[in-house]
Amino acid sequence: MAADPTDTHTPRTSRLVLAADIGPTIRAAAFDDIDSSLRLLRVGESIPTGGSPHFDPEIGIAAALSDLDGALGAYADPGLPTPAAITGSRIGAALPALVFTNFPEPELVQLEALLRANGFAIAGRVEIGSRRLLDRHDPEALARQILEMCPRLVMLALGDDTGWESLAAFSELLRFAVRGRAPGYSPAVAILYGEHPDQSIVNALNDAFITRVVDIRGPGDGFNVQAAGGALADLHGALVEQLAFNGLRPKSLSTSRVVPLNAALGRVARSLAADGDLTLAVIHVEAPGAMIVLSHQGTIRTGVFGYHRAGATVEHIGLELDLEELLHWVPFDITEAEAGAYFINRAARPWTVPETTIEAALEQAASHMALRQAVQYLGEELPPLDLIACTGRNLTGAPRPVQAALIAINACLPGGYCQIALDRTGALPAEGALLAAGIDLQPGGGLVHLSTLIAGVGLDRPGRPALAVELRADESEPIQRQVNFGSMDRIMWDAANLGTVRGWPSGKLDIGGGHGRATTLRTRIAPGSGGLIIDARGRPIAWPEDVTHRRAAVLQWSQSTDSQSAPSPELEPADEN
Amino acid sequence: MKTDPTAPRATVTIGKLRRRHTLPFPGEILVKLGDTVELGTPWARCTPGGRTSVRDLAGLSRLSAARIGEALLSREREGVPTGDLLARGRGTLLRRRDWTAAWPGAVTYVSKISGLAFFAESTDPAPLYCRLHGSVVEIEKDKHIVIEGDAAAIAVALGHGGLGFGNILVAGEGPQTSLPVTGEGEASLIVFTESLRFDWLTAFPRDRLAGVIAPSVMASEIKSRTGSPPTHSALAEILGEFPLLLTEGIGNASMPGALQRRLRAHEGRPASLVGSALPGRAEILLIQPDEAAAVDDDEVRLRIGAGRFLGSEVSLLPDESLSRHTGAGLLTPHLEVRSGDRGRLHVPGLNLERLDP
Repeated sequence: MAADPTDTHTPRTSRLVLAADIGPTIRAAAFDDIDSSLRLLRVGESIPTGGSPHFDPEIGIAAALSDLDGALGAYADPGLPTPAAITGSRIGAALPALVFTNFPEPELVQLEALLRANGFAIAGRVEIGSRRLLDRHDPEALARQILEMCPRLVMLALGDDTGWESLAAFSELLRFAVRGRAPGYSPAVAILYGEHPDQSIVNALNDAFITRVVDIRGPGDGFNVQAAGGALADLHGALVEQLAFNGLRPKSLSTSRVVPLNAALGRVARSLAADGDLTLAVIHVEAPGAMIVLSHQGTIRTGVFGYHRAGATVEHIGLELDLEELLHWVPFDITEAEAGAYFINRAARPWTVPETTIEAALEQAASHMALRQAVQYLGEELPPLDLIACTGRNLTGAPRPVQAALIAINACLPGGYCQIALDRTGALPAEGALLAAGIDLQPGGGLVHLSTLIAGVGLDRPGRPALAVELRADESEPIQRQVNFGSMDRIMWDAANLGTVRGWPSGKLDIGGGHGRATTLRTRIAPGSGGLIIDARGRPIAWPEDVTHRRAAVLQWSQSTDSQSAPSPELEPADEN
Repeated sequence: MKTDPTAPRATVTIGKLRRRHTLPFPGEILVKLGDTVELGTPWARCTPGGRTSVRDLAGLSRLSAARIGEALLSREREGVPTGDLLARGRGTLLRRRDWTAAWPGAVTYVSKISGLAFFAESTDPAPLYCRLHGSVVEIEKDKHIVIEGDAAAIAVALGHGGLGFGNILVAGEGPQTSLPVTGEGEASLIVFTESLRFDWLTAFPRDRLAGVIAPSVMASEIKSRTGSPPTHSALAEILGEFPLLLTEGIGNASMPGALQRRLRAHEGRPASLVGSALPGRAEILLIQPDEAAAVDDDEVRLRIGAGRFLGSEVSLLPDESLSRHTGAGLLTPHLEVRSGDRGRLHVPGLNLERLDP
């Protein structure tokens, strides 16, 4: 009997590419070649199993791949490939580095970029200057500094070192005052050296630590960036192997390239910015940490908060923040003890989701405060931002998308006009990891427009008219709002129509055209799910002194932007029928 | 909308388990590959590095680095009591720059290149104990061993205070319970089934308590003792190095019945607990457990691992999962469960944990 042609299996022409994002949950994302470019198909998710009772990360990864396989159905035949790249806040978060250096400023900038590109963030710097290490520093204090900070990487970057004195002192401090002093602590060591090092010093370090020594004298006077980058990538790989996989990488990820999260997001930021020559920030918040990757005038800079502290991984950012300050942002009666209990329980089970409005409010406050700290890590206020792209579980999984916008606004404090987009699929880190692994794709396919912000920079008296805004959308009457200083508001309109925004700030505020000068946003905007958010709280945000007024202000901000969930008295009872 | 839920996380596993035992400090491994080891016996001895005093001896003595040996009054590796002069510094009349031993120890290294000298506090080697009864199946020199043995592992939410070894002893509610922990005898791992109050512990002789397992501690209980919100350092302030495991977390949660049954079935038998503050590391290991401890029915027992009903035991109902909004407004796959005292509930799949292996 001849087979019915409709019964036969259609030969698959897809080119599935996988990437895994290992954070509070494991997310395996599948991409396929559609219309000559890789596009996200599905995401599989599971809970990590690296801890008790299994101590086997393979189980969790297999579960995420199996979930993905189920979601893809026949598309997954004859089987899923190994993820080409892995990243995430659990596996690819920037590792803290302590740098001892006598590099001049231009080379320091280069060094910082090099560290960042290879998965490290400078957590501390010891300036050696033009003299030997011990001329400027008490050796005992240096050893104490290392032990208190427990950086994953200790680096010596020295252009010159007469008689190896600084190299010897650095090596001896690590071997005789750091090694074996903190349980389980053993940093990786990188030496970028402008001299021929004494081999016995290098051998002694090699016996005690994972060590890489790089001759940084490149052709001419510059330093050999390529050799240094290779050594740092090597060390990052070794550390991740040890920290994330306990030295035993799961078989299902055996050939996957580990991409530092900041490098993955950096690739995304560079790609998104290149399209429109924008100044943009990609922000990522999950339970272990917050990160901002800024693309401005062709350079990428990264600010981080959380992930690692004193040699241990951070499980929840809430435990790293000042609870008294955090509760200023929560419009509920809740004590520090209750907030602390919530965060310590979340740290024990970071994959869980908030069930009540209070839990969501605590999570939201912790997210923006952690992100604010990451912004401050950059060392200067952000330039005017054209776009903020929100990703990471705390933002993509916010109960209401506009909550992610408010987290972004409260942390980045953009002034003037700024667009906010949300990575609804949560696939930006995976896309960045694939880009970093050399797989060509256009990231941001899952980004959706969330809100547009108009915000006044400057300070005024609370309650005074501060910002008037008019939105003219097609086929509807103009919508006008006047917002007093210290308040927020939001305009929503028909999603099918684009609108033109014009703002008139008071004389003390600036929305991009100068103090008191009206401006019109040249781009016509869609409302998105968050609409046009009007922020007249000033920059920095002006807080009422009085506790009651402060709480009222926080309530006004969240209610006016509709970023507070409706209270729910009970966990939802099931329908009885 | 029907969806496939994320499978609830397993918290119990039974069978041949492998546990890696790692040297936290440089030390000596005492066992060989294939050795049979007993629970609570030493597998290694390690020497924690003591405090270290570091001096730029070349600067202190104003000698060249190559000659700093001349400034030392104590030989390398030679024991020195507290207060002994290690090196005489060249100071001014008003400011002596001598280097004296702040604690008993020895000069461990003197560098002729940098001019640095290191004086380290003497510390005693400390034994490290096996958390399982079984055989040594892997050894990596100077790093770790792996022991394989029959056990039930129960993952818990929070740990504190390090390892504890002993027989399981289940207390009733509160301190009134009469436990056979007076007089001579081995230390026990006491199990409380209700939220712990620290004054209960004062009822027991400390040397008879090897560790405590409880479902939870209220935040207010910690705050009343320390004045701080619940943190690991607040627990350390109350308990010092005393091992404590909280199966559910901070709050007023009771221990789920399924867990209680498992621990009661193991009463009087050996166990170890790992009171690690590192998330995911804290666990109870019941050594050679009785398989009959499991209830023989078809119910899938779960507990709620987050939110107001933290620690509540529920049974999974056979319906498929549904995407629903949580009270906070988050759309996420929920599972339908039945609770003994709250009826039928929908709970986010990610917030549920399996209590059966």
